Amino acid sequence: MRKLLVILTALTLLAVQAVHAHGPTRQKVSERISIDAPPAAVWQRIRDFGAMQGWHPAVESTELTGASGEVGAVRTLHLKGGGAVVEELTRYSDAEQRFAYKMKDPGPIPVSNYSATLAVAAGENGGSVVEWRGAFYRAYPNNNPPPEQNDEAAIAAITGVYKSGLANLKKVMEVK
Amino acid sequence: MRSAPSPATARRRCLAALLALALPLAARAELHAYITNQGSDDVSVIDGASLKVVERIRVGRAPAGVAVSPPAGRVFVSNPDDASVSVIDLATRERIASLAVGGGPVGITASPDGTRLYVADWYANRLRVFDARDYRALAAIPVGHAPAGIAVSPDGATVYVANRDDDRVSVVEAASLRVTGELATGTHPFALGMSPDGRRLLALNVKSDDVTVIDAASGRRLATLAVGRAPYGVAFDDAGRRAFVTNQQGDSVSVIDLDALRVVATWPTAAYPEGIAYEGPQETSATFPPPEGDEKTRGGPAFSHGRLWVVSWMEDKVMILDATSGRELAQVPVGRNPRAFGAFLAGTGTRP
Repeated sequence: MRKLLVILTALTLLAVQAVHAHGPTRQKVSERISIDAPPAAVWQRIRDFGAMQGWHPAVESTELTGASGEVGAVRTLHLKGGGAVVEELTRYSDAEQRFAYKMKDPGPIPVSNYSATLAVAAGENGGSVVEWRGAFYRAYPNNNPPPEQNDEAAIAAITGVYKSGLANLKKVMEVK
Repeated sequence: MRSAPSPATARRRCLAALLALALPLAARAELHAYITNQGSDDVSVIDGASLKVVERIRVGRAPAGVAVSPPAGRVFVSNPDDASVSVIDLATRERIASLAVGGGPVGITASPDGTRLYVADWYANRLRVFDARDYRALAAIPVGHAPAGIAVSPDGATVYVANRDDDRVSVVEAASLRVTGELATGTHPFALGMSPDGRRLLALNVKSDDVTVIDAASGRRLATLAVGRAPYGVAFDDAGRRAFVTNQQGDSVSVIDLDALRVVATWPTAAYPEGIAYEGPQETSATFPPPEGDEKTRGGPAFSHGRLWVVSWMEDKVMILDATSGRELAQVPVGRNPRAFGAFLAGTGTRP
């Protein structure tokens, strides 16, 4: 009888969990920075899909398959400290000074289904505003994710990537 | 400090004000939009005349789907994160009920007569049917895998459910609550839309980036139209001549001519457009803002163009576009991560 009760309880708990199962919700991060440099100059620094190590402090080197600026080009970002992220270019416009891409392999970054846009616009006094926006899901696809793979971890990781990248871009562009 | 308007603008505003006094108030004054904000767990209610948020209503967790039903006098919202449906009273704009529906409710639609509520359970692969008045569960119909968008024929007799992972639509007979057939679509159909006359069913395929146009009577595929990337929402003009599709990853709206079965225009929008609704032409020129290109009949009232309401998930705002030209007329900031997946406009000039 006791064994039956245990089994029934276990089944009930399972059923309850199934009933309340919910998957992840799409998250987003949006960061922008003002840079005291002309938009054309800033665009020139970031437009090369294969040269992110030239402005982002976390990137050691990049391998590029296909031509930078061509939709479909794929880059592998080798990160300082190890790990690699693979991304594919999905949109590119020299005229609009923006490009968009998606992750094919997030590597050590705790996200999934990630896509992003990086754009340069005119700012005040001849300067620029750079906006980096991404949409993604957390790495863990099911209920009750471990803390290092939950929504907060995903948002924190991407926010860190954007903030550190934009801050360094500002620094290198404003060097007199 | 704002600078003075130009003489032309001042004249135009003066005329608009005089006309507003002379003509009946726009039906737009009764129009409201109910925008589900998935990131702030609430619904922003936008007044159609002033284009201001007049209320924020707390709902369940991570609200996504919305079904405005004037015949039921209610707005139904799906909350996938707590497996519930929130019910809002249209007259008082208060949340009056919370239904525990289980599973993963996302797609949600009311029957045209307002007596039934259809909820697609994404995880249990069921179409759940409820009485829209007393919320009794009427059925849980097994459909395909990952059911998402729902469309109902204008006579209420047929319910269609997009099974995203099967690349098929289930056809359900409303009277018997049985699946009577399946229709093939493109890859990963998510949203469905039915033309106002009930003749055309549109399935939006988020992976193949196209729209399957199906003849509702025969089930025949009439066309597959390439649109922008990740088509996510669809609206029809009142006459059913045009369909408007938001391209979530393409930051645009594709305009489809339903007679010619072609995409006739692509209009830029804010980033990640999702929910979209059409608001019909209004009978006064006292609109906000005064639209260009009013067609004036001799001695009669002016007619504005129809408007499109486009929800930008990325930018947390609703864009109002001129439905004839795609020109941006206004923006309304709303809550976080707005989706408005479903029918979100209530009031005269729109269909339920």
